[in-house]
Amino acid sequence: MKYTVHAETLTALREALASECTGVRFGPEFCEWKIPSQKHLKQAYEEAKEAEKEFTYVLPILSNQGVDKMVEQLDFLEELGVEVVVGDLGALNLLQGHEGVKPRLGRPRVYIPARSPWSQITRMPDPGFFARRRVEKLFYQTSLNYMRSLEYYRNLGVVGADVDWIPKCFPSYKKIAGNGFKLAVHSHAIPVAVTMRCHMARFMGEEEPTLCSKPCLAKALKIKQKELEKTFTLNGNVVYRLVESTQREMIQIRRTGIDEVVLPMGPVSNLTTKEELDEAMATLLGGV
Amino acid sequence: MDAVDETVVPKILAPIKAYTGAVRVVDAGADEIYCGIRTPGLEDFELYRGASTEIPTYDEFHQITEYAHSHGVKVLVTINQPFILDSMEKTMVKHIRRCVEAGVDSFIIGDLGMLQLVKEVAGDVGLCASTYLSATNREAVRFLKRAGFSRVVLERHVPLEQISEITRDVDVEVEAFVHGSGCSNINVNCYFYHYKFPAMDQAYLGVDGIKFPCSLPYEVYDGGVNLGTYPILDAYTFCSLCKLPALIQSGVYGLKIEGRGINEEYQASTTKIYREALDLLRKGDEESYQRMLKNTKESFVPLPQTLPLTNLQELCCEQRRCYYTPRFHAPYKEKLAWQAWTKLQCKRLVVQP
Repeated sequence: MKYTVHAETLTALREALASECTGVRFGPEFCEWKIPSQKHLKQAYEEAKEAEKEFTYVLPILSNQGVDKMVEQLDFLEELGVEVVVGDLGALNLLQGHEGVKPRLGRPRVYIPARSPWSQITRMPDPGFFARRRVEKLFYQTSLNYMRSLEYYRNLGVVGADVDWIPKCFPSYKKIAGNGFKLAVHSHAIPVAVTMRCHMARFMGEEEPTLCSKPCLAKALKIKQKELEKTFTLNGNVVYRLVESTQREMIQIRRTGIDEVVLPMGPVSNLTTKEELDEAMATLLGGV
Repeated sequence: MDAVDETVVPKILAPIKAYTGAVRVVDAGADEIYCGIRTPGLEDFELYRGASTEIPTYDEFHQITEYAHSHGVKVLVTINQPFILDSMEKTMVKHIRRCVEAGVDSFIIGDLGMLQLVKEVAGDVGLCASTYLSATNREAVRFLKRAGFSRVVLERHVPLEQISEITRDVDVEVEAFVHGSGCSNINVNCYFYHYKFPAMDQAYLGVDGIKFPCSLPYEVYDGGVNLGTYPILDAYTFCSLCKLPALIQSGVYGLKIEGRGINEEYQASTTKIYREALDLLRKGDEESYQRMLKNTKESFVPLPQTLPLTNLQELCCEQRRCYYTPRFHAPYKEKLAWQAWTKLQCKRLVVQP
């Protein structure tokens, strides 16, 4: 089992590299304004190489501006020959023809209905047992559980995808992994909603994306909807719901054939130091 | 302002949910109409929209295509699911065939696997990439064109200047949303499904119509500190009437009005307003266009007119709820905006005794 730590900054990356993780991911999963410069990307790669950790680059959903940034990095990525997690079809398009780069689908590109915070999964007013079971069966699958979709991506050179820690979805993950598609499961938080009109930036009074001070690197806000009795975590342009990962679930994950768990660093998971990362990994590993 | 070449005036795409509505929007000037059709076998698994937004039968859909085609109007069917599973394939094959038999011109498709299926089953039919495919940049549009789509609906969050770049760089029909309740989040990455939840019913004393969790107020905590209650996720958008000249310039093929779930009065009146505005711009009649804008803003209620709501000026312009404002621009910190929005959301509370 690979334990990969996802860092968005060089400072965080260094903590990750000092930890017991087997690999690191570098780059923003959801916000294009946090895409690192080529200089920082190069630095991150070299430090990971020196620490003998596997390196994966992460790219979010992109606008044209994000595409421009990515274009600047394409040759370098090809040179590195690393896996690149793409959150966007445009990024995937750009990687076509760059044989050295192995694309993976990021979480924004894998649809999983069960990311929803609601348990009400059928619009039927009073579903019977069988109807409910039928709908549930669909609800806990993913967009990669359709062979035509999986094949389509595979033909584009996609080697794997990222999914969430949703235990009821593990059986559907097993089917995907069984088809030779590498899956990585993210711990700690499930993205419930992603925007390009950054909720946190607006709230913090940021006026312009290019000048954003990126408060999301340091803080996450708890947002509570009283009547719905739901609490979410808002970090940058993503609303998360937090999940706790148990050792028992970790054992289940291994049984599905998934070989990678991704631990996110930052204010959402509260994993910021080497010690915290090691402790989190030890806790999960205890179940394996 | 010069007259605009007929060929560059964008098409108006209007939403419908019934034959009667189709007749009204076609008569109001829609160039194309789009709808969902209830899919036998998948009635229970509709993640985003309720049954009331769909054409209930293929027979009714056939009536719609006949009427639309007789007026030179194309009919697009949206396949509502953002994904498909092996176990759903047979059902979808039947659905696609029934739609083709009933005269569909194009399918709006939200999944690449579904695209392969439609290509195989539907034969020579238009293929339109849904916002579920999240085309937020020119490379994504290129990708979708290469995949076989003849048209791409841009994600609602694409700024106006980037729409121009996309239409300039990629030779494919591009649709942009112009009017409707918008979306605070990227369509395919939002799991706050839009239909009525029991918890919401309880929260609002059984009041129907409050369906968007992203428009509700949230208590915001930074660490342990309560910063107050704000509709912090509310980045809704409504209207593009003022931006029509720029949208024409952008080279966009279609202007899409949201509102399959809203009543026919809204569907027809919104279509009519955009038709009139586009016609004035086509003629180059700037003065009449400006006058029409002013009158419309003061008089048009962009939701059911039986309700005591604000007009477009108060609801959209003063709250800066324009589709194409800068990305970080939202009014939720302004008290007035929230009050107006609450008034809108609680519309049935307002009218009911």
